[in-house]
Amino acid sequence: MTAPCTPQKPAELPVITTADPSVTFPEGLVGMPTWKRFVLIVEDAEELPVAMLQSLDDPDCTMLVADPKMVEPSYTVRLTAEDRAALALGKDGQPVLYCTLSVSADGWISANLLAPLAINPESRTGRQLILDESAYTTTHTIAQVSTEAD
Amino acid sequence: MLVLSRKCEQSLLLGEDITITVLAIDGERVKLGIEAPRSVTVLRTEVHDQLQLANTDAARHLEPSSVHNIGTALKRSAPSAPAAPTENPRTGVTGSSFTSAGR
Repeated sequence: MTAPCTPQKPAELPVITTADPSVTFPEGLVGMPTWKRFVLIVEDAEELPVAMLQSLDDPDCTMLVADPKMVEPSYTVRLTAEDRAALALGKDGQPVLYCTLSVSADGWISANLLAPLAINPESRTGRQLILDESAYTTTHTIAQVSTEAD
Repeated sequence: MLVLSRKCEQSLLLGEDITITVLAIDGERVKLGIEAPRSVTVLRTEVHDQLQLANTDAARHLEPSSVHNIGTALKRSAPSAPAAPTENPRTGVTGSSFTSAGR
């Protein structure tokens, strides 16, 4: 078990460090019940604070995910007993949380903070949480994509 | 679509373990009581549709160059002075509990 209070720079992505990149969402995602099996591709979490979650069930589905704490430093979720059971987390286990990102036609990046993806890093089981009593939205605007070269 | 009429306080069953009861009718608003196993997700349809749309939106627009551009934009916009993670006793999970790299 890792220490629960390791400070983490918000610009870094929390990564799941096992050799197996697969993640299974047994229930699928909300409204997309066939999206169950994914691989989590983290190219360089320190260089770029994003990862790709690529569906093994739908070749057209690759989602970009980020640490919701990076988007909203005070971000917290409350896991229900059902969430804990679905994630096989036990009473004190903690999931890794990711939010999916979308980019609008004019280049604005937004994060879905209303329905984050929670993953048990041990079992690599995931569940999309629904924080429907929170004030979070599915389109929390973060930044505009810059096309200029660094 | 199956159409049923129910009066206030009458209910109907979906399968053996889901009961929907009409609790009150007030003009255009109907108050429903839903009894279902905790494992059954109950969502307002518009919330479900919004989440479905967010998921399908998130699954688009991904080329290697856009991943780099999005990552760079996010890194620039990230708060530069991270507050020390604090445990909020009222909420279960904080970001400090993420499994960090290199464990």
